[in-house]
Amino acid sequence: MNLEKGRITGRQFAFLLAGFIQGSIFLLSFVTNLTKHDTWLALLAAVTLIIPYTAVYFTISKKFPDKNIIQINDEVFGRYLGKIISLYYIIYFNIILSLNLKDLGGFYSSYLIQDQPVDYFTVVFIAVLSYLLWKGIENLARLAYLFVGAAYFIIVSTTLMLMPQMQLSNFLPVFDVSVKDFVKGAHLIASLPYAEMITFLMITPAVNDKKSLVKNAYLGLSLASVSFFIVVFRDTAVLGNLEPILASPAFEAVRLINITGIFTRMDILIGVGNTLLVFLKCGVFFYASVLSVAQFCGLKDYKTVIFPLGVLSVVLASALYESTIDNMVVTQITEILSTMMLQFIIPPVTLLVAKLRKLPGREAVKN
Amino acid sequence: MKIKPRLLLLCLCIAAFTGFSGCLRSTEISDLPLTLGLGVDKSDDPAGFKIIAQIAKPSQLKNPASGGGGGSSEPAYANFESGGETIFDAIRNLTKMIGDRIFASHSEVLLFGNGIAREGMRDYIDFFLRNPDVRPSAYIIVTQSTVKEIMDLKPLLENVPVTSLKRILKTQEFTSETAKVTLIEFTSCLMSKTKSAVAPVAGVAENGGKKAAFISGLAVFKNYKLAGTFNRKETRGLLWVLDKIKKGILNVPKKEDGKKIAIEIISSKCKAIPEIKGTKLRVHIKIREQGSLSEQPVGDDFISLDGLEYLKQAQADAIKDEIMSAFNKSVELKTDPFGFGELLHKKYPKEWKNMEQYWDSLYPTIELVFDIKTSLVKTDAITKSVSPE
Amino acid sequence: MGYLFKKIRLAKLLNENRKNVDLDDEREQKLISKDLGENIKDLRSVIDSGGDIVLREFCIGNDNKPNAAVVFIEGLVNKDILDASVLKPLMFLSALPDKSKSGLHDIDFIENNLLSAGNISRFSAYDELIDNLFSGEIILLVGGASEGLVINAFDPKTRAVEPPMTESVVRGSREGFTESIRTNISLLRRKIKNPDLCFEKIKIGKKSKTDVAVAYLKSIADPALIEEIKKRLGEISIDAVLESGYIEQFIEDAPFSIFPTVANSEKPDKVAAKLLEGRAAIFVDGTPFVLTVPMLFIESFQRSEDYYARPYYASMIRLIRFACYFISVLAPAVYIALTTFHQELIPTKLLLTLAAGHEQIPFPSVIEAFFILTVFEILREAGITMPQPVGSAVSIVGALVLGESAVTAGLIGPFMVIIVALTAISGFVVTAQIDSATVLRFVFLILAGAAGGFGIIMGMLVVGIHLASLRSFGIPYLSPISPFMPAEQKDALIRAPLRTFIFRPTSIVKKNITRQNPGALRKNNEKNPGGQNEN
Repeated sequence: MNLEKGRITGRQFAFLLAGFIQGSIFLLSFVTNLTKHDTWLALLAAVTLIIPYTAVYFTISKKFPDKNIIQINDEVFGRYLGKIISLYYIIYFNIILSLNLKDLGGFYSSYLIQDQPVDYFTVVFIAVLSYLLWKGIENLARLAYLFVGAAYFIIVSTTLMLMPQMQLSNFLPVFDVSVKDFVKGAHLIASLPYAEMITFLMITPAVNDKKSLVKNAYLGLSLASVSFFIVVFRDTAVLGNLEPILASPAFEAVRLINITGIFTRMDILIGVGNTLLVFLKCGVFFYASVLSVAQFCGLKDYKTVIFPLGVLSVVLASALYESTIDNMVVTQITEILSTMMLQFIIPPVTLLVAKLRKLPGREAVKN
Repeated sequence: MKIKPRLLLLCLCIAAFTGFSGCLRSTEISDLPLTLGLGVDKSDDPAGFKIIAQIAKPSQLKNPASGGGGGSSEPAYANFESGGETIFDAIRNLTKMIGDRIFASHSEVLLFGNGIAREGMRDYIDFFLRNPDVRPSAYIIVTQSTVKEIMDLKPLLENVPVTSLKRILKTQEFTSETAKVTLIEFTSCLMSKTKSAVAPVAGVAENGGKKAAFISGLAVFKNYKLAGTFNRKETRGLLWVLDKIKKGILNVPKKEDGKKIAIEIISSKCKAIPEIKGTKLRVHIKIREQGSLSEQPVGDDFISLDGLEYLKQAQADAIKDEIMSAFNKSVELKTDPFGFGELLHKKYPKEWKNMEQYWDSLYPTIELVFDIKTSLVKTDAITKSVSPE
Repeated sequence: MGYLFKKIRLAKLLNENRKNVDLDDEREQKLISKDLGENIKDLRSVIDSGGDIVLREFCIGNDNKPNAAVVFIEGLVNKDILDASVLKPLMFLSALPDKSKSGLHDIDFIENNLLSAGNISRFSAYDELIDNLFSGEIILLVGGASEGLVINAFDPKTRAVEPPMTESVVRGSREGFTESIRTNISLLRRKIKNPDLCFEKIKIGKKSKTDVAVAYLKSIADPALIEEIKKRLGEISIDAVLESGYIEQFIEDAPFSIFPTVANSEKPDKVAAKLLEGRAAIFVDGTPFVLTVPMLFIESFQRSEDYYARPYYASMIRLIRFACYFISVLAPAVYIALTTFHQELIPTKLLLTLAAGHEQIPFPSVIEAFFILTVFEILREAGITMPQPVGSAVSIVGALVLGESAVTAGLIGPFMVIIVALTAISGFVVTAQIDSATVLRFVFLILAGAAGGFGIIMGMLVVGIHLASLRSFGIPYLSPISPFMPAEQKDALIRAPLRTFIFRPTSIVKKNITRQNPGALRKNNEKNPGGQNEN
């Protein structure tokens, strides 16, 4: 039973993945207050950590080319344990979706349109996302390269415009943070934007080009990582010791752009870029949670669960945490523990069990 | 039959989108109190400060000549003062007078009164950085006396006092005797444990019987508090080391009679490299400067190899002199506006840990080692001096 | 949603028309009689109902009693052909002695030896008689024959080939299609002189019986596409097709979308170019607008002159066209969003100027913009429908009274007038998308008024997803932008030199994709053995 019939090409998959990871790019503040001007090192460590994991994630879906993670769980872990693990995934998808929704709403209500309750933005956003799912996720995949292109344009142009205000000495002294903070930060980066790519195990059945899945995943990963490095470099070089206290370093850095008094007030670029990327990211999460719930309940068409899940995620978004500070603290402490299992332990175990049980059977491999 | 609920849903979405947004902050531009500058000054309130907002009157700005009666048209701005227990409280209290919340996104200048600066900026800077309306690129200015004096002074050329201040700040690079300091730069220094924040100083001068505002020199802060001010010369000395010199006039004396020769700085590059040698702290200051001969006393001709050599040397001496005076003043004020401490921190992170707490006593012992190379690249429109052959 | 509407409507239609369909079937089976008199009796009812139908009985050979009849519609038939090629030979030549022997009533003899008209065909069913009669042909009935003859003498009174009204060009062919499908087909045939070009004709419209022809290039067009077009055309069951717009609305993929998925053109060269890119054209009698499918979104931004001008200028103009579309959709919305929500993004000096300009205006900016945009639409509509002599009055009233006075009276701001004027002018640049741009302009205005930049971005996302999900006859509407096709970027945002157009757009053409064969690229052609050197 394959719910989604839309087809995504390998290249589109790569860009979708890139845009998905980039979705957290302008909200990196959750790490900058830990790792300060050594964020780039933490980023480097995170990328190194995630490289083998990318292979693990997508080797799973390569092994089961026509199955999403919910189906794979059933097959690998059997009926009952599989269902329990699937439930874990479903809860994860839903909660992360709500967190991202809230982040975007918070961004809007604190910078662009003040005095507006966060819920307004999440409701409208989820409505647009519902429309997307109604039309099919492959439409987003086809547009993904435009999103990534726009993000790159914004990142590179703002970086060039901030060139005069950069001070490379802001990076000195290298590695000035405590090891504990550094590990925490690196793990946060690895787990928050990067390891979230586990969500793509819901999408891979719709991808055409199964053979080069891992290769395309690496393409997406590198596309995203390059832009991460640019942003982290730019923010630290421009903001220096102020970076750790700012709620959104990317936004504040861009507000400083001033080229001959004409190219000023470029904040809107960040607003647009952030909205597009978060939209892409939430689209993938929403799709994953909708499809996984439909799969879990054995529905034939996922469209019926779009509306209830949309409502649920809006409610969750307003109930999950009260403020961004809450979120930051929660993210830094508890989130890690709860997601670590899912992101870094279960996938290798899945692969291992599949190997031990010699799954999938021969016929399946041929396909 | 399935159509109806879906249509209903669509209508619901549209209604929600537009209906909810009824409480959005949508304001017509003509209704916005466009605040061009904000000032904080001392007052007799228990809280000890008041806030002054300068709000533009666009219709007056549009055509100052054709407005109202000839000559003395109404000013294009209005100042509102208000007190409160906190800055934000004071700013919201302005609403009672103005009729709407002030719109501070366009206030490109933040003025702090002398009294406030002397007392300490600690309590006042947080709001401006935290509030998303205020731009982090707004310029900080410290006034010589009260803020009110500067903000009430109608400029001779411009329409609005703060706009005129901003214009003056923008052109500081022609003299390099003061500096543009943005809110974010200022805060960045406040957040450093050793580096002292600086801010340009605005004052009022007589100008042919009329008063005019000017900006010159820098106020130097120590631990949020105003420690003292640098004069023109000391400011330039500081800017040399911070590598912020763009243009400016170096007046060097003639050897024989001490008459001044004006050399315009065309470009300058500076690098300050700290060094720990045993127990001694050294900072190497490496400057590469280019100047042009812009004015000289009639009669003497420097267009010779010897003359050029002299001028180069004189420039180097002048630069060194300026830097030394700045350094001495900073020692006197017990501040570190050069950021030597930060430089050491970056180059010697391990040693720095021990030095940090003694920095105040270590700072005066720093030895400045100069490596200044200057050149005279042009003599402008005439090559020889004006003198009968 | 659209699909459901369609289905319900179709079901209703079919139900109502079941009776008519039955009647039609009965008539179809009826054949013409050998007896001339009986045939004429049958025809009486038809002839009596229309005063323009002429029935002329006459004698072939030396008989005294009329043994043949011609039926035709006055005004539709070429009198010369009737007199010289039909009546004259039948009445005079048949009387010649040596010819009178071989059975005069033999219809073969009449067709082969007597009639000197060019295009003759036979019929035996009564239904065919009626169809041909009303198509403007001459019907010849001969007593004693079980078949009748149709002599093609249709002479529609159409206007001459003139420059098209909607797509005027500076450089390029100035001829435009006319109302006559025959003329139109011949115009296209003159552009592509190749047996590859084929036309498949059908009649659509139960009452109007309008001629519709599907044109395509056999060696290039995807057979599946042609099949799909024919299938969709076959499904149309309406009374009359008065313009190609009727056909368009019945065959388009997304009838409820604001974006057109069927293109139209008045220019033979443009249609020829589209056929050469693997598309199919649908000619409809009675209109100069020829439909082409599938339609891609970027087609709206391509003009025939792009290909006649040199590439630099053509590319620049095309980019400007894209910009114009965005301006015409977004300019008022962005202005509203900036001035009422994101004032911090406007440079200070500009903001002060804008504020001064808006000071006296009693309305919120959204209402103001809505008002002027509506006034503009009214003026535009009036300008089109107004008789020519009154036209100048409208422009004076519109521009002077409404625009000038409203500004001086302080009802609307001068900046809003500038924005709306810019919007309006930009809208006319991309004619193919005028209707979508106009609708979107209002939608985005409301969004911007409700939620500023957030509203605009959300709106753009919805429109973007909608566009990405649209298909025109199976081809993604946004291709080659999404899905991205690197090879086709040569003719998307810019127009590369014609020399580089080695292949046809692969988003549409599935076979025979080579269109140029320069020596340097021989290798490529070997890879595609089907490729011919066409142009």
